[in-house]
Amino acid sequence: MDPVITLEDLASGFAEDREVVVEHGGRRVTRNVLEAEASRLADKIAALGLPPAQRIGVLLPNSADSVASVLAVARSGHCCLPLSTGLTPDELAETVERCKVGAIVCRADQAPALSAGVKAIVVDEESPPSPETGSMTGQKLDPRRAFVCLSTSGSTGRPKFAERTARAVLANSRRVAKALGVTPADRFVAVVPFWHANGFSNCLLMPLLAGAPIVTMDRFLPRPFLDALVEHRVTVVVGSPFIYRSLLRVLDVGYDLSRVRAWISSGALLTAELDAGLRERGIRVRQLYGSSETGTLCISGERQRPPGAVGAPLPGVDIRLLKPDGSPCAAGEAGEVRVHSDAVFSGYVGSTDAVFAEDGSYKMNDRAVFEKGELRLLGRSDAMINVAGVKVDPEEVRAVIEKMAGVRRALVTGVENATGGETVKARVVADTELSAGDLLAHCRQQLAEYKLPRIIEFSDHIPEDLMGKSARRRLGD
Amino acid sequence: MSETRETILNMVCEQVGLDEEASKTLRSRGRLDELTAVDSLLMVDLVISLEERFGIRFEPADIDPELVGDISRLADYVDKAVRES
Repeated sequence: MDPVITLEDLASGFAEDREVVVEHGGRRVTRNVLEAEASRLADKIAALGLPPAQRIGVLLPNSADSVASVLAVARSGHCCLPLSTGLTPDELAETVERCKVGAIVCRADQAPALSAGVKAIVVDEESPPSPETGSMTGQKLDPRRAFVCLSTSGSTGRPKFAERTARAVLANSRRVAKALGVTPADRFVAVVPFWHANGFSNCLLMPLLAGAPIVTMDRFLPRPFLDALVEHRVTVVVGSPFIYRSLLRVLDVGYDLSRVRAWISSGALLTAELDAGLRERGIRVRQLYGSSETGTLCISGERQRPPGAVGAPLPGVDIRLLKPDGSPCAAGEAGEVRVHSDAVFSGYVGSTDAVFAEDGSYKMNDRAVFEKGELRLLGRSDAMINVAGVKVDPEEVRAVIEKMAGVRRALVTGVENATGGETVKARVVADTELSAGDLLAHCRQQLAEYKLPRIIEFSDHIPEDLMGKSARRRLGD
Repeated sequence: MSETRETILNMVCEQVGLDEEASKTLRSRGRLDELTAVDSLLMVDLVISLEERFGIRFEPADIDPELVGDISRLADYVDKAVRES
């Protein structure tokens, strides 16, 4: 049976006058103020008269406003859909349509970009206090209700939206907090955007539940990030290989990082070279493994580990490895990762495709092996491109390129770049004279910046045998 | 062509991985944003490289795709920062 979850549980570790959110270079917001702001926004949502359990978009950079908005959506009984501020108007319109978004919380300057008919709840707009405004004390959260809907890359050329219940996200955040030993004495830095599963779960929800203040940053630049760690006495850093690689390049003796007790990386694996470089500087990063669909499954320890090692499954997470024929792998044998956990998502919005196996497990599209009880990842079994921890579906980019007049065919792949990450590369066959600039201008209308091709090559033809998924990988070799 | 501009062009071509033809186009037109996606990742990478190479610091508020995508503006910015450092 589920324990009763009240909305105040979401920030129960904070005294009323304690800071919950500190914006680097901006506001410091106490629990009292945050609750008042969340209540004001919840009133605005209620005033729209939406049917229950609608999806409400939150189109805001990491900030006190975005934290208040997530609380407001929870309070109003709806499901939060965190949205990237980098989405193009077309992407935003498609998301609104597919997810049947009831309204979007945004800033005044973003409201005009919303498609016609979408209701905007403007965070920086004055509104008279409502008599309903008050604390969230005692309000219960239905554990079975959809709490958050996270965008994730599909494999069919369109993003998918993974919906997770309150039970699932709270179970996940509590589990990770326990594994990391998070207490109210911790301070988190939130630079991974809240629209990313890692940002939402580990930079927002987990510290809120644990009573640990959140230092928000709306963009990553390495020196301001290091300044923030020192200035705000941050103790837990959640990052990605790109963030850690950038930090390593600028790190010098001027930064006292001794207060940081946990360095976490997610989104992609740290390379052995990067891990070694960080260790030389006294930074021992713990690798986190999971997905938007499952939450966090494993967290490695701080000790040096073989490439791909992500630690043992967290308590409550059951990971099995299966052979291609679906039978279980023997000890020490590599196989496909299948997951059972109470933190796994409920399904994709608007999809009737079966996403769970007959035994109820979820397929991760990763190959792995267990070594001394710890999982070691060996590679992915799909063609997703991992751009600094965010998955890009090559089919989505290809489809956009092929919609351009004059383009006959395109092939999109991920190639390893100089910093150890992946870059989107497009090979294009055109019937008319096109430049890379023309192509980029077309793509910028329809794709968020992280999906844009970094490398564009024009070619006379694309061999048929390169059009298969495995061959897409070969193109970048 | 200024020495700074030439140095930046060489760095950018190498870092972005531009082929010979794209490098030639960049040298003649000076617009990186016409050849590749100047996203936040590329901006961070290039800014760190330029800070290392020229011993300067970029003001965070100045770092945007318009600056990083235009090699002439970038060279002027770097020259000014070098003079002031």
